[in-house]
Amino acid sequence: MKEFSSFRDPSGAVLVQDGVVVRQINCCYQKQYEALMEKLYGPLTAKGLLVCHKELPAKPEEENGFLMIQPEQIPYISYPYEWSFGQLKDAALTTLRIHRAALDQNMILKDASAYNIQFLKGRPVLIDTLSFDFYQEGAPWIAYGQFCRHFMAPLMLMAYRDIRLNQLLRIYIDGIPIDLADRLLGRKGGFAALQHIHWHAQSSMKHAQDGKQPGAVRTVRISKFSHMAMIDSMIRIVEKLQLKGVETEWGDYYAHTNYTEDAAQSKEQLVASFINEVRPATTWDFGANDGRYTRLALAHGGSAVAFDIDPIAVERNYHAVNSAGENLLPLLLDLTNPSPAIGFANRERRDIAGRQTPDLILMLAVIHHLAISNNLPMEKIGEWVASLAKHLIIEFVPKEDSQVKTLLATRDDIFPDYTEQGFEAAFSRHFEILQKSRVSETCRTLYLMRAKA
Amino acid sequence: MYLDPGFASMLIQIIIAAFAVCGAYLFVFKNKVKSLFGRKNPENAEQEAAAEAEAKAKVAALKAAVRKEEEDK
Repeated sequence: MKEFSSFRDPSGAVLVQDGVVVRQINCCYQKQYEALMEKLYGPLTAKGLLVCHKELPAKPEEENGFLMIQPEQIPYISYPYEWSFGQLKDAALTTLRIHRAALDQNMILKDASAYNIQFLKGRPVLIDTLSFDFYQEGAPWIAYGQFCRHFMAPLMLMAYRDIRLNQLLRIYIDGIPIDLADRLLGRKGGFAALQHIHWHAQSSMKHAQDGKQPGAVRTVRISKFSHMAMIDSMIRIVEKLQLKGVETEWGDYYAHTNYTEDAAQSKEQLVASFINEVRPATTWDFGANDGRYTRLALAHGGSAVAFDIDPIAVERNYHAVNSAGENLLPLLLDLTNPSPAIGFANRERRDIAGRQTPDLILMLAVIHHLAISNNLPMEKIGEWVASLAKHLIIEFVPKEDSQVKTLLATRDDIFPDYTEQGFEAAFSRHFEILQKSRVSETCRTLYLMRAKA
Repeated sequence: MYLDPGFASMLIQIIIAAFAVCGAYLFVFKNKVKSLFGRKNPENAEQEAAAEAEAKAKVAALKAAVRKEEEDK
């Protein structure tokens, strides 16, 4: 079946055959593909910048097809509005380094879409093998505008204005418009922002109507030397971008939990024993924070996604995953408003459930935030989670817990059903409770559940 | 609206690339000046030498690319 989102590319298409993602290369892309394989594929895959693939013996069914390739499979496809600052920055650097390496071989990266980068074992790789083209003498970088919208603008807005501004990428599927980024950034960002955002925006305004003038000059030439120097300079700019003085609510959560180290360890053992019952190949952790408990699910050789609402928690987890090369993907997610399906016909980018059905979901110390802070009925939460995965490990945090007391201190207690019995009754409508155990030294309870068919 | 933001993104690269070329030369020049006048700290000497070598290699690579480009012409 053809992947819907690959409708734009005349060079080929992405297909899913028996659950395996394969890529069809069309005849019109044969020369570029052969040049890529001869000069660039080896060095780029050795550096971990480009996804590895193998050529399949079966020929494409379509007449214009030239070759089928099977890339290394990405466990979970993610989108830039779900990435932390560090993830977006590393994806930007991957894009620039690939284009720079391509220039050395007289080729270019013709697309700088953030959606072409995905994470494999904590590291960004380009998944679009058909994004390369031949370098044309004197041509500027055709993907420069896209690179600024997809990477430069959100990174600078996050670094100089507010870490949450990457959420604009969820609205603007082809990246943050440069004039909008310019308005939001104001005078921040120094000379780098002046060049890539401010002047860029002004130039866009000035030349917006050029198409209407007959005989307007439409070609721009820059030497290859200048082109390379520009990319080198952009790499230095992105490398220097840092998040400064950002502290959020959850950043140092584990320093302020009401778990003693003994209680945390016994919770860890309990979670591990429940996970052992399921032996999941794929796991999602809702409210994962730094991923301490998510990592327990990796023991069985599978992959996991660690979702959290806090950008700093995701950032910390990403740096840990990136340096260890774990098969874990930290992502930003608001459980009360999860990533929707977006793009043309609402089918270009999928919602979280449309990308994978995990074997197991972990929801540890998160139910009180949904039920009390967000006033979500527990029965509805259960219904939603049961629609996502077969197994659930969930921790119930009662009203006696100090964290819940804090939540209730500033609001009326309109939650008479928020009790262990009420929780079990609500979740039993959608789940069968397989195991239940008190977390020692706390008043919290851990459950292993299986969704009812 | 019939906007053409693509052309502007091409045009602006002329200016940005010009600054980048100046930047690359300044980078090398700065390192040269540093190595001429800077006090030699034996602990840092190795690092500085490495940085200078790296800068020189970058410029050499860029120059080589230009030569190749001219030869191709």
